[in-house]
Amino acid sequence: MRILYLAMKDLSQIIRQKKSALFLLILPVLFTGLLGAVFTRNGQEDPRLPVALAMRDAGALGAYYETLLGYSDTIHPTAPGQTDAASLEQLVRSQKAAAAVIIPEGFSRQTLAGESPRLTVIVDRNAPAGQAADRAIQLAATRLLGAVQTARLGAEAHGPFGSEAARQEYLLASLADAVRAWRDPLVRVTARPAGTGNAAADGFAQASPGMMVFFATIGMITPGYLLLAERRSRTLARMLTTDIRRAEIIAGHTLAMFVAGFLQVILLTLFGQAAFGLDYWRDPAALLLMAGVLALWSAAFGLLIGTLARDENQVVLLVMGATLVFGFVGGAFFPLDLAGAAYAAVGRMMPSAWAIRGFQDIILRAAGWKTVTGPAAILVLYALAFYALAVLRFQSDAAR
Amino acid sequence: MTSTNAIQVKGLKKNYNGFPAVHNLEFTVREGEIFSLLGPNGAGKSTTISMLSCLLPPSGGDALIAGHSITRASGSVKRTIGVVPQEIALYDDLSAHQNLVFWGRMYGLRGSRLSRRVDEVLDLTGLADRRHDRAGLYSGGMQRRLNIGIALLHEPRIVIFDEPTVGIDPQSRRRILDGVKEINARGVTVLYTTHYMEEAQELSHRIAIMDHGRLIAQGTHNELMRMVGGLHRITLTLSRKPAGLLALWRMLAGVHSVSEEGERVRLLVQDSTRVLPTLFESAAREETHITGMDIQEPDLEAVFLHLTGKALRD
Ligand SMILES: Nc1ncnc2c1ncn2[C@@H]1O[C@H](COP(=O)(O)OP(=O)(O)O)[C@@H](O)[C@H]1O
Ligand SMILES: [Mg+2]
Repeated sequence: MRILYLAMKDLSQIIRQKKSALFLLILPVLFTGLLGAVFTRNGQEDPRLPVALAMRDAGALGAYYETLLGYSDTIHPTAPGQTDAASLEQLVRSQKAAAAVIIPEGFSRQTLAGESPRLTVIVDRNAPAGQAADRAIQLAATRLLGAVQTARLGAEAHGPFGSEAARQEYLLASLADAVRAWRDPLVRVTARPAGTGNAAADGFAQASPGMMVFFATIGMITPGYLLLAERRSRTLARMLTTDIRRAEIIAGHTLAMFVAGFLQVILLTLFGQAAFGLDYWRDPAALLLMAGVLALWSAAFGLLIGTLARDENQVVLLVMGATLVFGFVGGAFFPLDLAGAAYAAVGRMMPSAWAIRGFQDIILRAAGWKTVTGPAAILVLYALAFYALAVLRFQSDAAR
Repeated sequence: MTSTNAIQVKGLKKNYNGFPAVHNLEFTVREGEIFSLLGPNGAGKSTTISMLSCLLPPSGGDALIAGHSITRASGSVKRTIGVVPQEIALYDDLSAHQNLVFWGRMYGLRGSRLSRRVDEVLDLTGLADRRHDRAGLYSGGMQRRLNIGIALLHEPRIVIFDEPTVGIDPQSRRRILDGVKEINARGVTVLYTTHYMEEAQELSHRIAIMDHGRLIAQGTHNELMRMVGGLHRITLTLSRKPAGLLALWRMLAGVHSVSEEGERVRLLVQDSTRVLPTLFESAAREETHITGMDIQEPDLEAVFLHLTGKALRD
């Protein structure tokens, strides 16, 4: 019970501090907006990789193929000025296009006749963008052929047609259905390139979780400061003259920090969902799990700062110092994929990197709670380590 | 006296990295009395208080508080005592009311008892009409009073004050001293530390004098005075000096000596309050007016000077 009263007292003190609203909510919202806009570069521009499409087929299937390419999350088809093979190759080599595709003449006719005409794909398979584009091109082709197969099987089951024209008409109609279905597929296969380019695809999918994690620790400035003030003003000593136990005092302060951090994450994800359309809340269990472990980690961090700092300046210095390391090394400001291999390897060990990864799993990869248990478990381990250090430090300090 | 012991200190010691801040302390506080620890800054008063309130583990010895050992039953000790720390220990971003409610809860008070005690303490400390103002905006004296009030919330049988009047105006100090007496009058045992001899003298039933971590003397005020002879010095200015009068005074019980110093007469007496009326009466019978009078009581300052060879406040 005393733990609860202590936490309530802390929270009412946190709310009283004007800085709290700034660090917990206002700054992260501003930074997410700024950084997200920077990464999105130009809102008008299509963020997907351009693929030059040379259309030499006059039939319906060429057009369907173009449509299917357009449904991709990774690439978008563009019409090149010159469609000869040499010009297309030049486009790819100069990286103006991630790949080029030539749809040969008679593509529709041959395909409907049951033959398999060849698509010509020009791509640099050593470039991550090329690999991603290649996969998307293959995927669209597979889908088209699948749709054709399905339509033909359907036609067979339908039985004899009055004329070949009627059969063709039937085939095309069911093809159109199949293509339309791919626009909103039940199972979405997204091919994400391992290299550059994609982060720009959604600046807010980087900025929102990045800033949320960055400000989770910055938000601990006021709670950390309140804990320091309690130690210094001897209110902590006074508390120890009541028969409350040390463990209860630590638990009360931790609880207050946890609640503050948890509410911060909840509000920021709601904001990210409403303002940037990031689907944080698709699976509430996954989000609550990540919000809980992030708040647990930042609370342990706040407790450690509050017990380590000797004065107000140290609170700010320690929080900002640690947060900058967590933030820059851990990939809060730019995707670790953009960094060099060594940098990224170190970065991926940061608790912040695991937190960001958990939230990105949710918004980019529609992860359920089981998928994020990995990042969550690592954050819990970090939280326990910080917590243990804080408790050790607190015990020796309170015995003064 | 058949009273029991509220606090019994037995060979209490504290070393800070080898430096003996408190050394083999022995004293007893009886139930219902005000007992003062008097000593200059650095004497070891706060260290002693910290050990008695179970904040600091002793390096040796023990103490019983209402029969509970501070080393073995800290929980029971903490529930028995109220501690007024030397520093102002409250949340200055919260109001007096919020502070009292919070601390009351920390002391385990709930519900109607909590709200009753909060109101009573607000009245006692005279903070009732400023109860909703932030404590940080209070004057030093008001903060001191709140600091004291918090320690009284759970109606402890024993209250320990650590220099509660340091750095405040005379009016607030008066209020606090009266408050201590009032609490004591309600049956609460008080252990009071101070480096002001006037406070120890005014408040205490018994006094222990501390210096360099050791007790150098203890007893009632009178007992301590006897250590320095305990004689009051009375200097009188008379309208005339009949020889018979001075001879009569020399024969009075309690008068040690009478000497003439020019216009004045100096007497050394055991107890000025008992002797003075007789002096006035006999002078009136001899038609002599006492036109001036100066009484010098022996004080604790003199005791401290006598025992340590230095002044209490330096
Ligand atoms: N935490 C500490 N570490 C080392 N020395 C201390 C500590 N606290 C007090 N002292 C020393 O112990 C002595 C007694 O201090 P204290 O109990 O505060 O005296 P008082 O309350 O009578 O002024 C002083 O010499 C002081 O410097
Ligand atoms: Mg002191």
